[in-house]
Amino acid sequence: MNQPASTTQTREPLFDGDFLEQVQRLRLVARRVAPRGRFAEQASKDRGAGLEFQDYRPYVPGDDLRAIDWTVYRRLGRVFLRLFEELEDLPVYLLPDISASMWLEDPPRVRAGLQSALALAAVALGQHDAVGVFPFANDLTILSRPKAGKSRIFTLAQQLQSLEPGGQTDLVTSMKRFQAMGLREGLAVVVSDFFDPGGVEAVAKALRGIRHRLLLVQLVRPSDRNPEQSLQGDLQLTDCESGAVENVSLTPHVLERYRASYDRFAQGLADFASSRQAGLLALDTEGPVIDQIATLFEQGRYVV
Amino acid sequence: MSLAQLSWPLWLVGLGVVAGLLFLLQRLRVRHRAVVVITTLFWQEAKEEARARTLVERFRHPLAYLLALLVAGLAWLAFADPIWRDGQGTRYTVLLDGSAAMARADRFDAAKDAVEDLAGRLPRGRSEVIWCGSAPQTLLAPGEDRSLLAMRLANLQPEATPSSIGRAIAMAAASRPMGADSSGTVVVVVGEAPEDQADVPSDLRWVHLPVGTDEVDDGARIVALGVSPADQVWGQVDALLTVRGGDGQAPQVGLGDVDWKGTVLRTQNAGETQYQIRGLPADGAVLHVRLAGDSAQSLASQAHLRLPKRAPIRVWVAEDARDGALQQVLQADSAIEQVADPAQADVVVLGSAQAPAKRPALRWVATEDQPQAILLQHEAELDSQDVLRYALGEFGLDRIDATEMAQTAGQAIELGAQVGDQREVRVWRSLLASDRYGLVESRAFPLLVGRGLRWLAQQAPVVPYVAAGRRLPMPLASDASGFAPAEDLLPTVAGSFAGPDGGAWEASLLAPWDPIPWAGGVASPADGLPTQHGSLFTWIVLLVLALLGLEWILFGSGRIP
Repeated sequence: MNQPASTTQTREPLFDGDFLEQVQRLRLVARRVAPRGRFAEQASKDRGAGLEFQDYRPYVPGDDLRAIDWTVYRRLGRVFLRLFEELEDLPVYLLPDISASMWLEDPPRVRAGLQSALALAAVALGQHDAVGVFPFANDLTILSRPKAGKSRIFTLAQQLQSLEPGGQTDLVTSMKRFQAMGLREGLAVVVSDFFDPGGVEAVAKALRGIRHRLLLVQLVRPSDRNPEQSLQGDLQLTDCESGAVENVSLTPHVLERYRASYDRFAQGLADFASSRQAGLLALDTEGPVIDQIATLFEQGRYVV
Repeated sequence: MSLAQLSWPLWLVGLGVVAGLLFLLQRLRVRHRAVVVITTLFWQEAKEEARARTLVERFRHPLAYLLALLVAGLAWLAFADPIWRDGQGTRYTVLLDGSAAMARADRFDAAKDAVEDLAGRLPRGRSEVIWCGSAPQTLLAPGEDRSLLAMRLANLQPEATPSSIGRAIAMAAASRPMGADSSGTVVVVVGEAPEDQADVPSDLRWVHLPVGTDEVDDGARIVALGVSPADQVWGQVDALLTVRGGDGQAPQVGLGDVDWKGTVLRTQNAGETQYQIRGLPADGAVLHVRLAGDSAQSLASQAHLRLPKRAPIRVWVAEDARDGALQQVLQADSAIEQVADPAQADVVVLGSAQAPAKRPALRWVATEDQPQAILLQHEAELDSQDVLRYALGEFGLDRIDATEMAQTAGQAIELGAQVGDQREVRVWRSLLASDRYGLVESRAFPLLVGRGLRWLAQQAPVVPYVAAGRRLPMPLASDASGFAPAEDLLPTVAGSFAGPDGGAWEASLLAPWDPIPWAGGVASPADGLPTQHGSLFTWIVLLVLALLGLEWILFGSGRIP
């Protein structure tokens, strides 16, 4: 019987010097961040005092006279202001799954999940974006409100490392709670196995209500699709979260049916991500995390 | 089709039990290994495949159950050993020959093997095995397990008795169910065929399975044993022994408590060694002959017979019958013992003056008392012509020059025979006159006197030779010392049998293997018997294996749990 893995593995340092060096080469690039953000490096929908020219608009009393384009005035005899792009930050909301299933197996998926979340946090903090952490299981909690500052990576690492196993996964409730926070539009990174008891439909329903840009990090391992690698014979399978019991005799036909069901789930998640224009990364929890995260970043950039 | 090991009802009961057990096994809950997994989400679609074996679930896989039941049922059927061609209800009686004739070489072992093989192929409920030793005895009754047969055969050995196959056949014929047709019962004889087919009911089907028909050199064996009168001594006989095979080792001769100091002469030709055991006392003792060697304990290497009794012929000679030549003959003949009291005599020699004797007599008569020179008086049971014919040769009368005697006598010398109360040999006294006739000087006179006295004494003849498998010499009704071949063959077995003298003979003679010709009724060994080819065991086992392969394929493809 597989026992929940000890949390000692998650107590081990989630990153080291190489980890930080590797993530420094990565950058999150937002096409345009939401207005009213804090000054940073991301292009914003706000017009402001940035360097990139964006548009003209007629002068109205009260405008800053320094923004008048006098060349246009000489040509046309009308007063226009030159508008520049405002540079603001991209709030990144990390939503790591800490339900019981994440702590099972050896090594537990939660370790890879927290490492991937921390890697993305390091990238965001490195470019002055704010990062907030909202772990969830049967409900969502606030581990860290969105804040910027490169030095916060160490604080985040400690906070993530101190997480304890939660209960049953309830994506719908958790995402509703997250949405209800009314946070400024940013990038929501959901790190989970997405094994919600309601299936992929419940996952899609939960994520569909999020008004942030989405990046889904699906924590997988080879035995998810090929359980015969670790399971054989007549089994009494107990769901570690719900406690549901299923008696199964592993025959080729049963395995075939299982794989078909798994494939439908994975395809459903991929279809949802595609329809939502969300990013989807199937992260093998038994493989190197940074290397797999880096695949998201084409030429070091991941545009959201 | 029938079953060799089980009856159909029993097989069906067994099939029901198997079906029930399989049903329970299908209903039993599988003992699962408990495993905690991160989710059972994807197993919920696959779990339906495992529910068939849970007790609480309904029986969901009748196809898998039927396939398992078919495999188990066929295996059960294979155990029952069905036979395709079985004669539909035919009863089989297997007779195992246990007579001495089966003792040669390994014939009996081969016969036991054949019986075991045969019993394995016959339907158990309708076959029986009968041991035919000294008396028929049931070895395996109908319905008994075949393993019992092997146990009961293990210690069986041929018995020194004639075959009881004939009796067993008669019993099998008599025990046939009432109204059974000719095909209802088949008798299988393993070993020697019955010697008298006339005893076999004509409507009884029987099959003969000869065993060991190939001639094998199985060592020395006694094939003939007999006696003949000793050459010179009346009270002794010579035993004649024929041994076939072997290395010519001398036989061991025993006479019980009698101290015998005789000699053994040996001649050898054509694979047979003949021994003449000389000087045996003719006193009725039992002669035991045993060959030395490895096979000394087998019936083939030993024989015994009871020697004849040859008591001296007690002769009383009347005063007026005394004659010098007669006296010389009587004294020279070892078979004759002269007694002084006529009451103790077996034969009396009388002169013509004596009244008719109460005992057989050699009587000298006057020429005028009878027209024949020699007149033989015999019992009414004998034919006078046969007696005369016998006397001519046996009494040496053919050696008498009757013509010269007739010239001398001036009348015909005739030989006659007549019926009378007592045996008598009446001879002209004048023939004893040596100055007129040369009878007393001739070689015929001792024969006439000696053989005549023997004929008068009616001594039992010695059977010249007894050989197993040959026709027994039988005495001629008209000639007490003559023999003719009997119609029946001497039994080719050991034991007691009626001798030519009407007495009981004991001998253990095994004939050289010479199958007795059997006219009619001989069936091929395969006729009427279920053969191994009729067994469906092999085909059923192959079918079971094929079904197991199919089940494995279906299991592998997930079509059955």
